[in-house]
Amino acid sequence: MSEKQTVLEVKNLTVSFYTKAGKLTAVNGINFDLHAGETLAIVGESGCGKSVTSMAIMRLLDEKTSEIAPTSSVKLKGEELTKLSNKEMSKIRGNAISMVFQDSLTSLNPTLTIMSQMVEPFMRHQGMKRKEAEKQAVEMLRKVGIPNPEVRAKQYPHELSGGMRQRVIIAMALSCKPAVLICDEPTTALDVTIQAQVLRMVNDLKKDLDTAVIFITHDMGVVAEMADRVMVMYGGNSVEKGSCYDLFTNPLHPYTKGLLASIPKINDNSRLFTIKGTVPSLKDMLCGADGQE
Amino acid sequence: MGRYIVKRLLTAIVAFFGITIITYILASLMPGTPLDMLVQPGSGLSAEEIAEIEHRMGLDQPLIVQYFYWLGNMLQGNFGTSYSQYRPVWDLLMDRIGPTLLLSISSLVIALLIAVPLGTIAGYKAYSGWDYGSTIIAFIGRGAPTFFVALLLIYVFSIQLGWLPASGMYDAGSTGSFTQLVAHMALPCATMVLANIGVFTRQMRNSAVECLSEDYIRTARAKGMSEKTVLFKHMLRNALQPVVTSAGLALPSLVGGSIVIEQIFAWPGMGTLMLRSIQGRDYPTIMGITVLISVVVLVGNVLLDILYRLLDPRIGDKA
Repeated sequence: MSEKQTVLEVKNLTVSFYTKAGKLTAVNGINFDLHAGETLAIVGESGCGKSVTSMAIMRLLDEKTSEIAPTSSVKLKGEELTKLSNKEMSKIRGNAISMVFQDSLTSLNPTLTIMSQMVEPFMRHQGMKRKEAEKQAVEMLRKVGIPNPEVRAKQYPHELSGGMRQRVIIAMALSCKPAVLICDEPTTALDVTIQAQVLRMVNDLKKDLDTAVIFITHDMGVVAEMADRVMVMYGGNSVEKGSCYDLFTNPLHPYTKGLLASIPKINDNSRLFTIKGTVPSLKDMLCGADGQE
Repeated sequence: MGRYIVKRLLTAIVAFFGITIITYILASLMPGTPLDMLVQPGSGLSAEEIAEIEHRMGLDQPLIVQYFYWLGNMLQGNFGTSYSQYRPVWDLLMDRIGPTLLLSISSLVIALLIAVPLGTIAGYKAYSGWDYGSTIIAFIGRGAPTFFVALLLIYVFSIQLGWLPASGMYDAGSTGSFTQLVAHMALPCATMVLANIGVFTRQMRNSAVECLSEDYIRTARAKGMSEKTVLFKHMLRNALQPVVTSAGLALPSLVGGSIVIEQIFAWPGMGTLMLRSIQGRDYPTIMGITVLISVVVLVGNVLLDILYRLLDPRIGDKA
């Protein structure tokens, strides 16, 4: 893995939000590298900063209410993303780096056909004419396993099932063969069989296109299935990083141990394990707190 | 889509007959009869002569007979003769509908042309100077009574500055040119526009704010779409729906005209005709106006339903 090219380099990523309670830090100095064709899982419970991390990499956070600290650095194939203008960044989004969101129902525009949403990245980033983009879009839909893609493309999102919509979104995200794909809990809203299909599909496409994947989830089963490496987050900090195998066999941080112990076991009738307490609200977090006792 | 339209049309026809029955009853419940207007006290007519007039006008028949008599004629295109102006109601309506539509449609279009972009910018730049500025305009437009705005405009532009005429459609005694028409229309139109942009701007603004926080907007941005595409392709179509609804609700006043504004500016439209025929207990004219308005409103609603369908494909598949 290490001989592969590093595509994404995140250094000291710190994100704060301006709120009525003052400036709150949601992500506190995250570091990680991502190599081509590798899958990094970011795990942690709700509110630990997983999504904010990915939104900050994509520069999708509202600049009026949030701030990426000037000391942060996000390098995509050597190009610094945090200093780009919004216009320059929009040429990278959906092209070299793209993202799949959680809720497939609301992530597609209800008033536009699948086709008119699918052609957009081709026309925007590859300068294709509509006709050509349509051909590519159908091709892409076929690749993600949508039967009858020509017919489906003419339909509206509400005419497709949840699993199909999520496939459309993944197809859209992969249409420009991005170097990095961020999946923010892409299977949470799907039922388990569809979930397995979608995960397998992401894995296959990843190998096909040599795309690096950041997989955000709180499902340890999905982590074991998908990830090469894992980063555990708690309260905006990265508390443990390691290969998937190491993390499951030999967790070091007490929070990681707690997280793993929380997975229900099928042959165990004792009470379910819970991690004591709740994730502290951002404004209660002390500077430098990282979950260690 | 075809079945959808047919269904909507059938409902509209049922609604139409309902409306005519109710209006006919309400009109006849108004205190006083047409005879009171026609036969002034001290006219010297004998009771028999009055009864003769009553009989000739069909006013001695039971209400239900009068209604069906009127309905039969109406369906053959005969709206009767105005009691107060002695002219066929149809001719009166045709004289008045033009000026009213001219005034109301142009002011609605201008109001939308101002309100939609203004509301969109205000929503896009929520809580900025643009937003607060448009809110103030909206509150003034909505809050100030039309008659006050109308009188204020007349005072400033007609009396003080002398730029624009204060009443009528053309200068008295002239054949009327287009520029004259525009000059006469300016003030009533401005009054109506100001009254309308308030609601439309606020609605557009709130709808834009709501749409911009939707997931599909984030998806569009994540695809790298330019802000222009995000706004016009992904947001506007969704955000327009509430505005389409309230523009649709404005339909009756489009045809019916604004009584207050037409009265103040002496605009020869439906509003003034309506007021005069109510004062004169002129049943045929009142019914004629009602029928015309309800037909336009019902047809307009069908068109609106189709427009909704075009804006949002989720609507009406099974309806």
